[in-house]
Order: sequence, then C-alpha cells, then structure tokens
Amino acid sequence: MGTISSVSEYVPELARYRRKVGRLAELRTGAPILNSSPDHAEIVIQQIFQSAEHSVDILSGNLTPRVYGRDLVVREVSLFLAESHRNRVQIILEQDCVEDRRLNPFLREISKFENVEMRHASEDVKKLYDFHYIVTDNNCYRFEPDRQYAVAVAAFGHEIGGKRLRSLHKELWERCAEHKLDF
Amino acid sequence: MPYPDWTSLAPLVLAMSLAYLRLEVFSARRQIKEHAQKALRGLSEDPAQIPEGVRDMEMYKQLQVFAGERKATRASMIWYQRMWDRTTCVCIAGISGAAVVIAPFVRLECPDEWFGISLTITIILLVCLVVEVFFVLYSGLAVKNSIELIDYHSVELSKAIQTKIPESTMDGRP
Repeated sequence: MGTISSVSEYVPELARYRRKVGRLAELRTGAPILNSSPDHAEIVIQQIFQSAEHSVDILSGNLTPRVYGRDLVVREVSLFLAESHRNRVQIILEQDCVEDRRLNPFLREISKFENVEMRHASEDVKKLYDFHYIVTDNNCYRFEPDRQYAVAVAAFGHEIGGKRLRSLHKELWERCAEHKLDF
Repeated sequence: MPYPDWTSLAPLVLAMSLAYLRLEVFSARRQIKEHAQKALRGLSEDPAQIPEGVRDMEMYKQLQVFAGERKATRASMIWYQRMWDRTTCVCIAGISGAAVVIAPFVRLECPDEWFGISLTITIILLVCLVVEVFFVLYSGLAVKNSIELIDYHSVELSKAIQTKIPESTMDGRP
C-alpha cells in the first residue's frame, strides 16, 4: 500500500493553518495557537509583520533563513518598514557571523532600511533566558519557551503576554547595549 | 447449467472489490497505528535523554507528545481521506457488479438454480459491503474524535505556554 507523500498532502493542512492564523489576527482575542514547524513559523511571522502597528522586537539565534529567509516573510518585513519612517524593528541576535548575516535574505532586505537596529547577545546575557520571541507593539507575538526546539505559541492581541515580552525585550536590549551589530 | 459465463463472474468482481476495500481498511488502520507508535517513541521517559538546557521536563514532554500526536493525527486524516475515496470507488464497482448479476434475472432469462445461487451470493456480498462501509465511517468517526481531543489539548497546552512567559529575565532563577 502507499506511503504518505509529504508535500501534496501537507499543503491543505498548511492552507487550513494559514486561514486559522488569519482569523485569529483579525479577531485579536489573544487566543493562542501552537506552532511547531518552519512552515507554521513562516505563516505566523508573516502575519505578525502584517499585524504590527509601529514596532517589532525580535530575539533569535540567527534569524534562520529557513524561516525568516522565505519570500513571504522578507516581503512582509519590507512592506512594514517601508510603510512609515516611524516603523522600527529591533533585533537581538545570539550568533554573530558577518558572512552568514550577509547571506541571510531577511537581513539583506532589512539592511536597506534605516529604521532597523541590531544587537548581539553575549554569552553572559544568553545565560539569562531560554526562550526566543518576536513581539509587536500591539501584543501580537510568537514565543518559543525553549530555544532548542522550534515549538512555539503564537497569539494576536494577548495583552499580558505582549507586555511581558516587550518588557523582557527592553531589559535584554539594554543588556546588549555594548554589542551593536552592523549589516 | 446453460447460463452465460460473463454474468456469473459478477459476484466474483463484487467479491474482489470487497476484498480490496477490506485490505484498504486494514492497511489504513495499520498505518495509523504505526504512525501513532512512531510518535510515541519520540517521547523519552529517561531523564538522561532529555537535552541539556531543558529545565522544565514536564513542558518538554508535553511538547513532544503534542508534536507526536499532531503527526499521528495528520497521518490518520490523510489515510481516512484516502480510504473514503477508495470506498466510494469500490461501492460504485460493487453496485455495478450487483446490477450486472441482477439484470438477467429481471429479464427472466435465468434458470432457477442459477437465480438462487447468484442472488444469495450477491445479497451476502452486498450486506458485507454495507458493513464495511459502516466500518469505514466508524473509523472516520474515531479519527474525528481524536482530532477534537488533540485540538482541545493543544489549546490547553498553548494556554499553559502563554502563562510561562516570564515577567523578567530574573524570574525563577537563583
């Protein structure tokens, strides 16, 4: 008997997931949705950039191109930044490799904008947390409780979670003040 | 028995259709079970195997279970859809086969002994087919229930993860 051909059968499920994420972003009830594959992450991150009002804060290992480098995400961040000079993106990266940063499609794209800031988390700072996140000013976020696994929860309009993540970002951003990164 | 041979093959066609359907159901159930077992194997009970840096073992286990269940459910859904498509095809084949068997009787061209044997075989096979279709529907219901259950758990798990967002980097640290 046959086996599961991953691509053709996975696509309808992704379409369902995309619709669900779109609905949650529209309703803004703060209801959570689980997220555990690069495909899901792409959908959520794209939606987060689409939902953001003026700012997006990111804490990530290296903004993995397998998620952040995908066309839809790159296009959406570019549209967000191009929308207004007041829009800004702050990124804390854990891995600092100039060569890799130049290859990353997401970083290549945002390097064209002036309203993007990037800092590096030193080993000491990395010891302070286990998580990764992306959070907007209007409480939309994707939160990975353990940075070793690509399992995360996303929510749109979740006030408590959004506030906490922004406050965490502020704290970590200050701690990374001495490690500014250029593109 | 002076009866055209091709019509006597109809119950055989029906039987083969039924056998195929049975095999599909069996295969689908086996696949679902295999996927579920594979998913469960990913869940390690041995603390030594929990990757370094994962402090919250309970959360890790829950996440693993969720990832496994999602894969198993996806596989179940796929197999159920396949099974349903094939059931429809087999039912069409079965009903066509039955029609071929019954048609000569309607025209009263059949000797009595053939009428009795063929009609009995056809009725038995059709009853079996109906039972199989119900069985497929029942499997579908089980898959649907498990999807609902997993959806419920995934929402609960998501809420649990949401509450784990710390207020400060100093939270829970010595």
